[in-house]
Amino acid sequence: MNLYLFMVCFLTGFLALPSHAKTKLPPHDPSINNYNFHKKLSVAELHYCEQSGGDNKLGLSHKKEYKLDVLLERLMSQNFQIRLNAEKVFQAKHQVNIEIGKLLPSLSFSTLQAVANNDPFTLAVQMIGFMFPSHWFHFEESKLFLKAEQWGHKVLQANQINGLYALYYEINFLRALYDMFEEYRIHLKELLDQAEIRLKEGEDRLDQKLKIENIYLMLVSDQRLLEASIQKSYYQLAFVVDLEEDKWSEFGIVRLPFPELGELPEIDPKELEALVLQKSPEMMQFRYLIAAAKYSARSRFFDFLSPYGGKETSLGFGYMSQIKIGRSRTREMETRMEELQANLKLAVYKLAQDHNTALSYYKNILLGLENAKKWFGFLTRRFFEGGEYDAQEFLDAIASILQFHGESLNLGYNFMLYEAIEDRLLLRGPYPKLLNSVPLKPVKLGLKRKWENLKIKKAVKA
Amino acid sequence: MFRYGLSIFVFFVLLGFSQGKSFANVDLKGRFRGYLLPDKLHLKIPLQLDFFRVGPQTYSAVLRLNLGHFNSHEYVSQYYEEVVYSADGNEIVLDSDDWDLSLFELELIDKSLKGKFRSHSGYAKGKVLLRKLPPEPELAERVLLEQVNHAELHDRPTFPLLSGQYEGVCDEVHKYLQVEASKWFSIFEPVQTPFYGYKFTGRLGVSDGSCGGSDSICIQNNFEEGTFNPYSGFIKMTGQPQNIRLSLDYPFLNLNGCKLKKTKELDLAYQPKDEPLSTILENIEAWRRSDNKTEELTSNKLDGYYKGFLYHTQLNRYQVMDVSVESIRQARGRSHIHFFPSAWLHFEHPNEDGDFKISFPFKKVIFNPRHPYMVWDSGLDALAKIDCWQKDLIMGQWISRTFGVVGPFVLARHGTQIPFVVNGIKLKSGLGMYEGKNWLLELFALEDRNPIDLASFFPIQIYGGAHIPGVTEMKTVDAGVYDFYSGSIAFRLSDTRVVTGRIHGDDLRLFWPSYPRWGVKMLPMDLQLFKHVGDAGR
Repeated sequence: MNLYLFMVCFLTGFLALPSHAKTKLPPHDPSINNYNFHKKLSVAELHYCEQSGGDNKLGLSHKKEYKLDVLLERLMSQNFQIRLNAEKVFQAKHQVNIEIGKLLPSLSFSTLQAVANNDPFTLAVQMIGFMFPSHWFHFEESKLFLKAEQWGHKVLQANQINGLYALYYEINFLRALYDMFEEYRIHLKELLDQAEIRLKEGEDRLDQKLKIENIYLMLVSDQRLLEASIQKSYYQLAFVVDLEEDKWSEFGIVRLPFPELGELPEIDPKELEALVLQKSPEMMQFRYLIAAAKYSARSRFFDFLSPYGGKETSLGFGYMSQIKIGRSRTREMETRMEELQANLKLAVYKLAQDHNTALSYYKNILLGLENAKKWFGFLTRRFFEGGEYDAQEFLDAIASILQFHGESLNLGYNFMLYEAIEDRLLLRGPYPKLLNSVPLKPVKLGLKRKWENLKIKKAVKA
Repeated sequence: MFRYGLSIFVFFVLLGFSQGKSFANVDLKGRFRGYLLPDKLHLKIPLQLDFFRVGPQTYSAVLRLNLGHFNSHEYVSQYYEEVVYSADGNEIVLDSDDWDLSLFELELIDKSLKGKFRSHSGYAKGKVLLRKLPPEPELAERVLLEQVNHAELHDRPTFPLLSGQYEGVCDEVHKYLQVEASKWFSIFEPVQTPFYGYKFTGRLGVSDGSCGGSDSICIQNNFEEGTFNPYSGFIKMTGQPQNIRLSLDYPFLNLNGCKLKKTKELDLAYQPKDEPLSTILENIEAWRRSDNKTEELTSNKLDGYYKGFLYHTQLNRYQVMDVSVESIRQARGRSHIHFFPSAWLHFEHPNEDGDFKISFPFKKVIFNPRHPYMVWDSGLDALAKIDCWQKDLIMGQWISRTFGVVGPFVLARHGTQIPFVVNGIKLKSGLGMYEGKNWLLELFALEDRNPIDLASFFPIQIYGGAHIPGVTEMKTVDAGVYDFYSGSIAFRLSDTRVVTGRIHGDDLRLFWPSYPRWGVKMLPMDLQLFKHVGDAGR
């Protein structure tokens, strides 16, 4: 009997890891990338484009512009310290948000103020996956946990990618905002030059010139702040993708064209909700967790916190760390899953609400922008062809253009962000090809564990 | 007996007034120049008096009082339809109910005319000293501008031009006053002010840097209207935010006890100093002296279309002139006929095929072949004094009630030639597109369009616009006058400022004042060149 048991255990152990036993693999370490995809990325060089110019007017002097996909590859190839990297992304987003907040709109353009106060990152889904202790995968029920972990890992990676998207879009938005400021700074400068000539030629009073000059100075100041914010955002991005520090000063991004929004459909939150609950990686993770819990031989405490932080610092989503998984905890897991569903539902409804609301007034914003531009054009024609001039009217028209233009840019980039969030929630679009799986580490199991695993495997099959 | 004698005396006095003394032995015809010497002002005011014969023993006269010099743009003139002798028959009197200025007790001794004057609205009187200029050739008058020589004149400075910039330190503040006078109206009604027909505009500024730049002069006061009494030297100007009253305290203007000295003069009279003089006058005189008798004019030969020129002696310019004469025969048994002459004065348009002309329809004229003193009267400003009308040739003097004697005109019947050479420079209309250092200006007029105010000096309403491209709105020129007898021009912009200047060859020289608002930088009072760059209405 003992011999029989020995033989069974021996064969089971042998068959369990037929190849791994012979292959000397490094110990499991998230920083080690064992997958071909990442092997390619690990040697991938950063491709950049020479800057086409245009940002140098007020000091933006980046010479090398990187594409989004290159940055994504770069991000995903960084030693796989996922939690740390996720932390970086979070910090970067937070920092950029602070920088935008510094943009105190000196001009009384309410929309710009709204833009500055807006935090597009709050739109991004902040749910994050969790990881398991590596030794868990020694257990057969942990194969299910492994699946859960793989999904959790995808969640984490996807959030990183989503964060990078948001950062990239944000920089694009800021640069578009900068360009807009530059365009109207030139118009204001023309007005100021006119005012100076009018003053010199005895055609106007000093107060008119001072008024325009002060508005001009405020615009230039805002533009300087914006420029600084863009520069800092570049640094943040460079930090996130772990760019060599000597390249930071030359670091830039390839500009994305302003999205062709066309006739965007509204998001139906119910339809999206169903899809998200079906395809959400978070949900997938929980499904495996619950399945595993049912067959778990004993209660195990999931201390899957970051090795670099305490329980409550796990990216702000510490509640997961409290989860205990075991037979007696299955119901709790189901409750947690319901909570996750509610969170996802909330995220979906928030996304749909924001998206649909923006959609409903985006046309108005475009119409307003078109009107404001027509107004400015009409004033220009009225001035040059009709001979009528009123500096205040020009100022009003420029303010109106800035207001609507700023809002349209904001909405345009928000729509890009909404799409990215939707992709992220459904893990579709660019996500699937970017995500990796959790590396698996072989380990020798004792007979007891092997027997336990066998039982679980059998039960799961049944 | 005494009563009887007195009655006879009164009868003869009245007879003398009513008939006037015969001028048969006195040749007044021609131009006199001299000065008015006001009793209460130790200055002399240039005076020009043109006499022309309108009947065998009747003269008409045009008086012109100039500030600054004899050809200045600041002048008033009066037309005396009939010059009369005083009761004692020795003194010439120029008087009219319509006019402010009366000259009386004028005595012609040798070539000097001395007498007195009185300004009704100016409450002033004083002396008049004039000297006749050599009659022929009229070219000489340009050389003899200052030939009136009298001891009384030496210690009196000439009354200065009012237009100019004045400066002074008042209460430790450097103040600047700019004043422009532009002639806008001829007068057909009794006047209430001695210096009439003018628009006085100006501005008062201080050098306090409040309008940008420490050395900038900033406007504190704008003046849109004003009146001026040259005999008392008082100037009143109304505007925003305050009205001011100035007095002439030569060589200063006194502003509330603060003395402002003239630092720049704005002389808008045309000054053809460097141009060759036309030989038209000599040619006319040479022709007159030659044997040029033709057949006597009869009523059958009046009608026709005549073409020739008018020569402006002050400007050394000539204009093409047309005249059409159409007679209307009266019923049988009436010996005389009426005719209606019309004249057109043409202004040359550079770079344009056609030209610009203004018409002068004259009143009905009764033809009398034995009456050589024919005067065509438009009833408004223009008079044509006919000196000679032969079969195919009409010669005379063009007279402006506002300006005085402008110069000779010569007309030849259509199909014939003027019998001498006409050379020189044609008079420009002043209309067209002009380009200044900053401003683009367009001035145009609608032909044969009556002015809004019939008393407007230039019988054409000037329109147009001006702007600094890309800097200012278009300012409409909503009114304007072109004194084409003196060469000065003035127009009003839609923002109420009045731009003044003068013709300068094909171009204009303009003083473009600042925008008339408090706190605007006051521009220096300089005449800027505006190059003619094209025709108006492009």
